[in-house]
Amino acid sequence: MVQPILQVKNLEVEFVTDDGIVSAVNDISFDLYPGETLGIVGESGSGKSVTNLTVLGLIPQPPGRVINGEALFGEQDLLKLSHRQFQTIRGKRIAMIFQDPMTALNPFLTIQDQLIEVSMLHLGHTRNQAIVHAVELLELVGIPAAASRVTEYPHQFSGGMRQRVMIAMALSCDPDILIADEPTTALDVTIQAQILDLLKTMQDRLGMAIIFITHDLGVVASICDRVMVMYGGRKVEQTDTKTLFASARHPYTLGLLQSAPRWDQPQQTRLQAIEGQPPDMMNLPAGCAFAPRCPWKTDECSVAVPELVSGGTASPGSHLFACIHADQIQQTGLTALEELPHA
Amino acid sequence: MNQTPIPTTDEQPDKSSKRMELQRLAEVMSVAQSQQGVSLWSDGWKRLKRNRVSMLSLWTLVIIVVLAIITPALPLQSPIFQDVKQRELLSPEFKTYKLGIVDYNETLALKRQTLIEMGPLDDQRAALQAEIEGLEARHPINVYWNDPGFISQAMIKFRIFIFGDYCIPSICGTDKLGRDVLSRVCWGSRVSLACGLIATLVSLLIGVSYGAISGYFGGRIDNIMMRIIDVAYSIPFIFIVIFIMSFLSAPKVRDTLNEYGINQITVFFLMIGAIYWLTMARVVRGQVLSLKNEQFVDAAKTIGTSQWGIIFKHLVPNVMGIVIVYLTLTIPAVIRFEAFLSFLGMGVQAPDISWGMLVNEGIQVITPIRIYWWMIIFSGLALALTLFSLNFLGDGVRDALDPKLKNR
Amino acid sequence: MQLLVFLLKRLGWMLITVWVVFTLSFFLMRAIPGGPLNGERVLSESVRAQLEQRYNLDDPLFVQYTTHLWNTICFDFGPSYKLQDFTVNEVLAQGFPVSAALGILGMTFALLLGMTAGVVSAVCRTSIYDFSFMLLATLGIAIPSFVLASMAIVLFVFYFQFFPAAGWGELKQIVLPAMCLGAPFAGYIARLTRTGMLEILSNDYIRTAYAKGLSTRTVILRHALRGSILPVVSYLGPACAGILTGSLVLEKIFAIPGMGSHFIEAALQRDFTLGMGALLTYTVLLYVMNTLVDLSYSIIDPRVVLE
Repeated sequence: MVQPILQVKNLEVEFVTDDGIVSAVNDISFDLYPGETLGIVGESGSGKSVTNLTVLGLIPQPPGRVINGEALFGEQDLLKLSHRQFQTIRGKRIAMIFQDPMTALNPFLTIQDQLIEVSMLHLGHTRNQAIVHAVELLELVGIPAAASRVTEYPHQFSGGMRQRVMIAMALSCDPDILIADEPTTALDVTIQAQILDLLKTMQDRLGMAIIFITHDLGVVASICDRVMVMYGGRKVEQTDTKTLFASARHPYTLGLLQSAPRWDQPQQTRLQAIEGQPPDMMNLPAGCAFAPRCPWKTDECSVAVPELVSGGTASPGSHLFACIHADQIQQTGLTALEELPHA
Repeated sequence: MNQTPIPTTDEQPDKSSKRMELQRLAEVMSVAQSQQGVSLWSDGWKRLKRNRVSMLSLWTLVIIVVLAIITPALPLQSPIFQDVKQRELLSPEFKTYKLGIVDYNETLALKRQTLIEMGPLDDQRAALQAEIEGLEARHPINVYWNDPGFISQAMIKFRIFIFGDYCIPSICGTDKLGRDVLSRVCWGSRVSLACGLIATLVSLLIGVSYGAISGYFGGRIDNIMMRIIDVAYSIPFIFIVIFIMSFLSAPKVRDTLNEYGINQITVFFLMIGAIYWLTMARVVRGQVLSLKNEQFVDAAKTIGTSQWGIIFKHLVPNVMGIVIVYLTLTIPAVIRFEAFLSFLGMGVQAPDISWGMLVNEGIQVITPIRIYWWMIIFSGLALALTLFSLNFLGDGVRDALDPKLKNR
Repeated sequence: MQLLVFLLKRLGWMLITVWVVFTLSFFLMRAIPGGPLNGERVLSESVRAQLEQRYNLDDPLFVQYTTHLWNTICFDFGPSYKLQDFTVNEVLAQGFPVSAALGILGMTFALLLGMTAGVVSAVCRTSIYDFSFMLLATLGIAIPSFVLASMAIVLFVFYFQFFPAAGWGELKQIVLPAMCLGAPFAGYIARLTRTGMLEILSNDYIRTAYAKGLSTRTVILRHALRGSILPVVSYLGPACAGILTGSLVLEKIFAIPGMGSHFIEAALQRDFTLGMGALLTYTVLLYVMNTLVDLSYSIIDPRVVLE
């Protein structure tokens, strides 16, 4: 059996703010296998970004605080690394690209300056080697006239081009893991597709594992092998992409599926919004965090946080979900939502 | 302050639905009224109260201002009476000092009494009357306090009534003309603080009106008005003020001004105010530019408010937050500028007193042989403490009123 | 090309500004009694006429204005009213280098100290360094330089006797005035740097830089510093004006024979030609400084387009 390249276990992160403690990530565990793409899905504030920033040691401490958990990368626990040890991993073995390419590049430095410092630092390139490497990378990610554009500043590039630059920068040391934090959210739809294609091509070529954070199920369907759904800082469902779309078991996942357009439904079908507001992370409700918005809600839901149970028909653990009504949902499925008074 | 237009509903032919709509609106209104809106000010005040440094500064300033206001009523020595022979450059001491006003008043009262009791013997009566008038003119109040104004005089009389001849000893020493430093620092605070207030108000008036008008009318007017500001920015006004002050202090000019009843100090205050409005105007203009397309302005237009009404009733109140923030910067700047000019001898002229002038007097008597430290330290500290508190309070106010500017 | 247009535009506005200042002060000068003819001595008719001729006071006002304007354009400020043996140009040429040395030293001191303190404060935010640096900075901003200078003289000149009291020429004599001159600006610069740095540090691209595996040092120095000194750069314009003003008092306190003390003397003595000459010099100086600041702003921030 293949060993996971990254194992996150029981991660708990909270933020201390003026108004109280925000528990952003609660007891999150997941494995990442070499070469696969793991999607993490959830709405804003569900803890998906924080989880990954924590893995890279990028949450500001304070106000952030890791309470519990470990993140095993090979033999090393990433959460226990010193600053210096981390520097040899970030950018070299685990790289990250961010949501907004407009702000993620330093406006005061040329593209070249920002690209070469990675390979000079991690690969020991000389300046000239690094420049050659940078131009190669830019060509690889599809930037036309890379050699001449490399000395330009970020504001002279379009959004999509900047995201390509970010990808080039992240891939410049051939990392084992690429964390992509909503890399397509800030882009036009056509550009989104290009960027997704690019990521897939690069993965085929370089073989890295990708953690793909998004709130867009369409993106998930097109790029991810497995999906983890997060809500209120917890994992509520995890399975492979096919199963997720075919037989999701958690009401929140169902809600997400309902709210996204699908080709296999009649055109007149109205998209269903999930009623209510995302949970207040400062005081999460007792029991299931989704209960206040859930059409299947019963009194039991507010008693205790539902445990993750394995319900997969295939190998055990391949489909995890955290809902006490999962069986009922399995029977009624998506159609149930339309009949319920809430929806 | 924002006026939002009342939501208009589509015309409903059905009467019952109209009634329902009205009912719904009434409900909305009652909910809206029951909710206590948190205004910018009360919210800001709440945040300011949490800032300990700012509150400390605020209290310090309150104490300084109150002391400045009641200075005439405090048992201080004369700030201007010179006694070079006996009291020149005394180091701080605790010997009591008596004014001798009570005796003087008694003599005066006695003479007045005699005058009343005296018969209509013309010669003697006239002589006594003249003597009394002379005594009144040379009354210590006028000598010690340089013809104080009505309110100050009342306060001084009150102080004599309460404390008699008693004076706080020269605990801060005396200057080279034998005047009490403590008293001079206290009296100086009145001029320095008044300058901060008046000049800032002047700058506020000019800056806000100019900026609001420029921003509201926009277009060519805005362009011209901003160009003028650009030019004005590059004029070294401080030097021009120095230039002007030197003209104004020419005896002839001063006499002419006095004829028109214009105090030189007033001109000085106004002039300082007149050069500190540039930044204010720019800031207000920027705010007005972004505000003038808001709905509440449109709403005001639709009910027929005049342009000036919109500018001064609707727009200006809305930029007050940022104006206050800039005021907290202007006040210390103005006080410092006044001190600076007075230090150079271009500002407040004797017998008026200001802190800058006092520091200058301190510098004048510095010699390698003996250090008259008390002449610099107390006035310098008073000035520094005031400016320090104003700065800290300003920071606090900025954080409280404009969270976006936090930590600036 | 863009640069040339920018500079030409600036030059045009500078000329307008200088002309405004000139006109303003010229009419103020003429409107108010003073000048060489109103000294303590009563002048005989012939001497008076002679003096009037020397200073062109016998012409009609408009002619005086144009003559004076023309002379000014030719950089000839005429003879000093009070220092009878000198022309204004001579006095200014003598004072300018002295003031410039003082100003440059003060500014250097302010920049070095202010930026270091600001960066340290921002990086070690809410630490004891941050707190004490910011306290000192506020203190520096609040206390007027002349109060600081007087206290410094009492302490370091007379009490500890580290520095000479006054005069000009030696390095030792320039240190104390330059430090007093620079102190308030150091305070401002420290605060601006800190704020700018904090703002920049909260930017996404700083996170990107960390994600690349760069060390904190590199991130601060290469990625953050450049953006965070922008507020400082735009403050340099007003700071130059402030340094000019500040040098007035410090030159007076430390008896330094610079342009500032000449200007003060001119104002006190109503020496109009000298005052006007100094005023115009200051105006030009300020304008040049502001233009330089705008230029350097566009060099540091590639997004800024010169206007």
